[in-house]
Amino acid sequence: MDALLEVRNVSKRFGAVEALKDVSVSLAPGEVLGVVGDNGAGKSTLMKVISGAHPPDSGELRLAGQPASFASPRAARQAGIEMIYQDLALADHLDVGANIFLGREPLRRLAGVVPVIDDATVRAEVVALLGRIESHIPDPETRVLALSGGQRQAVAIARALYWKAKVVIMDEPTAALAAIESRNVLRMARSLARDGVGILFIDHNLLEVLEVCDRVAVMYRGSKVYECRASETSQDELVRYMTGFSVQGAAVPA
Amino acid sequence: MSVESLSVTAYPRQSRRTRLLQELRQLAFALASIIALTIIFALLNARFMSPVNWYHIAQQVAIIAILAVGQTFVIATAGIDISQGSVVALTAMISALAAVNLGMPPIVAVLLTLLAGALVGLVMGLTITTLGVPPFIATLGMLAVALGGALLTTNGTPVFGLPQGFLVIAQGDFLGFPHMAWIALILALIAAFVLNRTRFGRYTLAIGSNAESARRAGIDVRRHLTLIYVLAGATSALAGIVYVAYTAAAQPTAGQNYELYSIAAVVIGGGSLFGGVGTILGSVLGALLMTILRNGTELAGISPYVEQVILGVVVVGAVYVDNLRRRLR
Repeated sequence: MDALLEVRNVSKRFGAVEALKDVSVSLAPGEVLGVVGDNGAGKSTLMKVISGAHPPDSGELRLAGQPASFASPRAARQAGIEMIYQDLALADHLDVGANIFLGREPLRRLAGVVPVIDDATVRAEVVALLGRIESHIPDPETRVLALSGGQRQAVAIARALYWKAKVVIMDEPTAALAAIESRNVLRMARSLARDGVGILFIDHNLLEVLEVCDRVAVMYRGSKVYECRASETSQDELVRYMTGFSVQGAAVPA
Repeated sequence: MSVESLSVTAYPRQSRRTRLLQELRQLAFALASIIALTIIFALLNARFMSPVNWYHIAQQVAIIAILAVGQTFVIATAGIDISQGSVVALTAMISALAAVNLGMPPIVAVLLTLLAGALVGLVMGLTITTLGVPPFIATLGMLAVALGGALLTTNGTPVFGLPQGFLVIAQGDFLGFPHMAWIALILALIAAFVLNRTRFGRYTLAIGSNAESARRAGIDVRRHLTLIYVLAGATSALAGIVYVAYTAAAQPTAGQNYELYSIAAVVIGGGSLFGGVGTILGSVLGALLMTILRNGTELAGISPYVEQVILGVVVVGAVYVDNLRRRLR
């Protein structure tokens, strides 16, 4: 299958710091690609380049085979690249449905004239949506305030899903979650992928990465030093690349 | 598919009930206080419960309720409008000068005054959204500017001699209910509709809850906030017009401290100074509570100076209780 997102030979420099050195990765539709690396390895910079926050100094992005360059995160989102922020960007006092539809509420005309928010449509869509990603949110009219961390992730994921994101970037989605909730988030990531969404999954927990991802890319000091199928690697091997041990040893397996 | 459609019909009933309970709990505090105060004031002075006095309360609550409606929208965005009292004074003078000195027909004077109020609001809104001045300071500045403006219009002297066509805005009643109370009621119904059912209301709460997430969702936060202050200015002007018609005179000292009543009303009614919450029904109940407090202390023979002290304590107390409520949640 053709690549959904391709990053080709991207470099990015901040003053004297080479944050990204000639990085290439590709992501297929329905694929979960883990991106791992130590702090400062370049994961965040790579995600910022993909989500339109930083333009690359050289190299290019291709989305569905077409060259793409994003002037802003908004432009990237319009093209179908959705970043799920660690702080989730939810309005706590609004309910689940209001958050998923925020800024894009469906309207109906009261008495044929006055435009009001079509709550029935919102409710129906949200119930179906939450069921699709197995979110464990019993009531779409719950305020986000009252949700657990995992359920908040579910709202952000549902929003990306409903608005037809093609690529979803999940930045340490389980960092602040209880174990059981982390399981749910991983399951939601898989169900997003089943819908054909490509997912870039950044995480420090390698066990989670090995479980949820199809492939894993390892970053080390701004370069992608290793890439393999998740089923063909181990935590130990990933750590060796993340810490630069295998890189300097130059014993890169195929 | 059948499972989904089943759940679609299964959810709303339960959640609507919990929603209603949540809102009732918020209103319970205001209602309980209203009942408690009513009993206390009835015991202090038998005249408090007379039909004449309740008619009077219905008149008095109108102005505070109108201001509380504007204040609800502002506070829902995590802002505050402390200019209200002064803007009431300024717009009271403008409406009287237009109707009396310039001899405009009442309807023209009213529209002109509403426009002036909206303009005052626009200045505050732009000060906040483009100059980045916090709402507290921007509206504090307007408090001084509008009061100065009100005094400047006539060098501090009141305006009398309003035509009957103007006075009828407040004086007289319909179905046994004073005109001015009808005005407040209709405004409150429209405001509740806008806040609960429209995108405008939704965005108001969203901005107050998390302005950054509203911005990321594509909402034009600056424009919306500016509009909120325009509306707040216009509602202050409406209160100024009603005030003039009620007292049959325009004085530059009209509306003094009214912002304290309206802020207290909103917070007592469940609004939070941190933004994101607030209901019109709650704010109107809060306005009723503040009016009863004012009317009752007067009838009980308590000095208006003491009433001032009570007002200050109630405002601070209401905000303190609000903080406790948020922390406990």
